[in-house]
Amino acid sequence: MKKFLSVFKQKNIGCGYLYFYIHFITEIMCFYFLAKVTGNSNFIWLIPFIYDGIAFVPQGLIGYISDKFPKLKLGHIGTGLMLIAYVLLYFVPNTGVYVPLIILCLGNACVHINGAEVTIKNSEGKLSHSAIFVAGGSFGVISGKLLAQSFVPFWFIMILGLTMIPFIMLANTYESSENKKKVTMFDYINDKINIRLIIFLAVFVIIVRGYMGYGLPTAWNKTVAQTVFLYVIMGIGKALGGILSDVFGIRKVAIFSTILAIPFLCIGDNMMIVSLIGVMLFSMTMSITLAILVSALKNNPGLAFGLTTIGLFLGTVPIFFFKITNMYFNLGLIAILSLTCTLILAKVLKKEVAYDKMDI
Amino acid sequence: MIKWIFDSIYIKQDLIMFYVYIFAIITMILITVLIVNKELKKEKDDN
Repeated sequence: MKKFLSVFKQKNIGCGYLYFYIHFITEIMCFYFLAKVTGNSNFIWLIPFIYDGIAFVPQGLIGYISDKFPKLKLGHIGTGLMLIAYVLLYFVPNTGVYVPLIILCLGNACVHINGAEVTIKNSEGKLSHSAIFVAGGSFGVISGKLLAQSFVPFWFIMILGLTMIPFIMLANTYESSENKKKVTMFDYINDKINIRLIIFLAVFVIIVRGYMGYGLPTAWNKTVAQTVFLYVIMGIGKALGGILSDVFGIRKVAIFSTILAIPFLCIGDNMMIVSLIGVMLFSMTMSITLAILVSALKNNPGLAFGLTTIGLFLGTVPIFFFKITNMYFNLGLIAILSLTCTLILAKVLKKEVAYDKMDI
Repeated sequence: MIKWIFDSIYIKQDLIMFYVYIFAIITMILITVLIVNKELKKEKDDN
């Protein structure tokens, strides 16, 4: 327990907390916007699909640009773009939906890349920082959707967006040239496997997780409170993945969380608690796959993060085009995919990580 | 009739935009893959 609590006092963990808030507000801005735009239109299918594509896919390229030009203030640029999207949607008539949507997506991508760069570079090879940053998104998604259904006006969301600026400035103070060199401390992958194959397999695991996030059988999820629970548990799972990896070792957490998730996911269709445990366990792989990709692309943490979001997009694509209605087929697919992910993670991750033996 | 023509133009425009979007997404993914390949080669050469 003492070791678990000490994770929250790690060196530079503050940048993780700051980016938790920044990520939280970013998702509120995006999902408030999406819910308002799709609320009373025919674009209910198309707009989330475009959002997923333009917010997730360019992160690879933006991440690469950020790696090459580290002085670029992507956090500020992203916040500015998202505010411009709101101004265009609410103050400029005849702009339509698509232009503000694209600008919003690019803003979202810039903030994400900045968060990933700052948390990875300052974590000294640990996972908690980026896991805490990533977890903020799940809370933001559901909060944004709920705020859009409430009486909260758009200008309040814009003010929330402005509050990100001091947080980004504070988070950027953690960056130093010394910390940038410490990305090399991410050394979690099996050296005997071809590095291209490792990247491909890690992206495959992310694709599976992306698919599971939407394709899971959750017949129990009928009320707003239950949806809130689902997103909160997803967020907690993402954060716990990184924190527990720092405490017990990345390989143990990767294998146990994915294999334990299988029965919970398969039998949890009508049982909320069982299903939520499965979702939490499977969400833990989030920071683990990021750590694998950063270990493979040590000089390009932004590009590595971009690969995770491309994987997430590819995982969500099938959901827009077809839905598996046969429950047994869906459960079989979940079990096979989860088992495959367990085997991949067991093979790709190093057996003995020197860092495991270190005190936090 | 006129409504039908306008509707079909509208649908066609949306369809073209949709194909442009899909093309852009695929292109971005391919460029990212090429960049990853280039960076891995560079890292290998450096080592």
